[in-house]
Amino acid sequence: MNSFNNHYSYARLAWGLRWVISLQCFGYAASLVVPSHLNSWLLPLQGDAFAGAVDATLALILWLSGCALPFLGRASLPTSQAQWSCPVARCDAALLCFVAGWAFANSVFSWQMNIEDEFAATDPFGHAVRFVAPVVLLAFGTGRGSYLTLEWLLRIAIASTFIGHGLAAYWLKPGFVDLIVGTMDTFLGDDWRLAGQRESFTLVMLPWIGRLDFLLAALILIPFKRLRTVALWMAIWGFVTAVSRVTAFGWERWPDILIRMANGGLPLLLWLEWKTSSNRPPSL
Amino acid sequence: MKPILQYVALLLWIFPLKGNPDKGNAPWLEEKFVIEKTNGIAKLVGSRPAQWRVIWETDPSSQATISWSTEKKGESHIVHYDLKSCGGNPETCSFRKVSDRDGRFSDSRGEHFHHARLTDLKPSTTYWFVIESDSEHSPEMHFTTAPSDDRPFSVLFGGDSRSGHFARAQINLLMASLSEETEDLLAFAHGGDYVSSGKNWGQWSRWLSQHELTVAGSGKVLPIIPTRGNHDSGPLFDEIFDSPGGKERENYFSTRLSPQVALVTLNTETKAGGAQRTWLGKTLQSLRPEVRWLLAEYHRPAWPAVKRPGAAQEFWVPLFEEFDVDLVVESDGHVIKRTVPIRNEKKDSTGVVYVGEGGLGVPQRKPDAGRWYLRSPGMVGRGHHVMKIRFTPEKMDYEVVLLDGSIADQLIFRPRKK
Repeated sequence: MNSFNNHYSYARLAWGLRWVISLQCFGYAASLVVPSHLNSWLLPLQGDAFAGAVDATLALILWLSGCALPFLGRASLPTSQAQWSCPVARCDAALLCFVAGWAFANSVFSWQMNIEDEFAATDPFGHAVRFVAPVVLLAFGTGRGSYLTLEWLLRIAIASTFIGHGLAAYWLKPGFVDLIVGTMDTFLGDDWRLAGQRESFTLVMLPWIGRLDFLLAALILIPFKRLRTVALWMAIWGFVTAVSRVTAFGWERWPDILIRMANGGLPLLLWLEWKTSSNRPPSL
Repeated sequence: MKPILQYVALLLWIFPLKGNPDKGNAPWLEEKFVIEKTNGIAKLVGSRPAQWRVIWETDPSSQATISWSTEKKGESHIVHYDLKSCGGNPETCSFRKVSDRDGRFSDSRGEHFHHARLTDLKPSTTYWFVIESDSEHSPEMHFTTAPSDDRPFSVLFGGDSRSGHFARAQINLLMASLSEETEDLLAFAHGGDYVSSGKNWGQWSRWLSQHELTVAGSGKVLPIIPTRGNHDSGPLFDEIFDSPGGKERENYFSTRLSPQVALVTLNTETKAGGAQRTWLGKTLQSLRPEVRWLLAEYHRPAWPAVKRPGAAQEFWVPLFEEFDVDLVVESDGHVIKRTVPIRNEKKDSTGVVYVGEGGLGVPQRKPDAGRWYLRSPGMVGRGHHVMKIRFTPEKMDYEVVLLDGSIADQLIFRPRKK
């Protein structure tokens, strides 16, 4: 029996995931003060009142989810089939399903509302950690899936996120150029006369950042190996890129950091998990 | 006598001379009228010219590009033009220009674009033209070049025509009416989001055909100054508007509308903080001492009424303030807005005013009136609209015209003290 129920680090990993998802909920909720991609899709079909009401409802549920998930986790631990039937566990599962569904839908709508934009097409891959994290936690709660299966789910989600972002970097996504140039402005001084040079530097750097993302994605997927350094590296890079939204554009963009908590959070949890476990995973 | 006056007063009260929207003055409010006009749009058939447009870029006092589409490739594509009417007969026009750039629209079924770049035009001069492709020709139309002196003139601004096709047709008919009744109305600057999917030729084709509705009954065409929006990705934008900004830049350029008026068009859909910012700084630095009225236009707002600020706020707003831009036109939010003058993220009478947000057909949203920069004396509203700006030596008149012709907002700008 190799389920999470029996794994010694069950509680720590589950709690880590729970807090990452909770913070992600706050980020998504705060970002809904402005129209979502879903709103843009609904607007021509149903009008502003309906689209706005949908956004407001989603924001309310996300705020509630962010607040409730840590408490629901406390109430439903440790999981057992008996507790799964209790209302608290069901409520927990429903919220996790909702968060996973919204994170996935958001990535798809982001792509669909900018269907002509090749960078937006990477969103369902780049956002993978955001919707896989609640799914894994849900599997914890229901006691389904072997430990290794869920660990690999996390690994694949992290790799997918790095591949998605790596592709956008390799293709020189304009938004990424602005993030780096804006961050350089913050730390090196803002001078529009130097902006062109900084862009040139960034355009040289971005393909290498993309290649590095691909390499990290490949390394995290090596079977029979748990490369702790790689997980830690991905965690740091995930947090650095999330924080770059604020270093480039100011504190008003704080929801962007929370939305991207899983980018660094999931590799960090894997690193913490692997730090105290065998370097070689047990066989399936 | 007194009873008669009372009777007249009663009649005036029952049948007011002004008041309710008069569909006689705004016939596009009637569905039948719009359908009738839309049915009259030239069809893309064979080599027959259709989807005509005039494009302005850097120097509209001496240059203009006349563009059109044909269903088939065709062999001969010519613009016949003259300083006087040719009576609709291309043979009687004094000048001719063979198209400079032709090609098949990306992702199309074989429809082609044609661009004839007219140069060495005279300023403030009306040019009459007829488009000819393989012996088939368009009706005669005309446009007026930008002035090389300080005479007053007007320009329309607006954005977001990607959905709401019926309302888009109505707004186009409103623009045609404004064009007809305002002799000094010279051009139309579109703030982007022409269509929902910029790589979809079918959507562009519909937009291009409906654009014909902006042509006034007299044949007066409003040259378009194009801006790229977030829904306008892909090669079709450049194929339709002849790569505004040139191949060396990514659709950002400045237009010298007159010796005293300049419009800087920026592209929010590419890198904002790098080379474009350096170009913007240099352009504003050179233009500011030369012109009285300095304007900028781009798609995603720096000071939005609905969404959150785009990269323009971080990278371009400091330059607008450093070089005292007079007015900035934005789109994307689907509302009507005018900010208070802004400098250093505060209300400041010496600051920059931001207007627009797009209403050329798209369904309108509810603006967030609580944002500090939109509170009175700023304004927000909703409704399909186009902005009309008139430039004179003494003032710049800004007004927002709604679909029924009523004015939703207006403001007079005075020249900045040098």
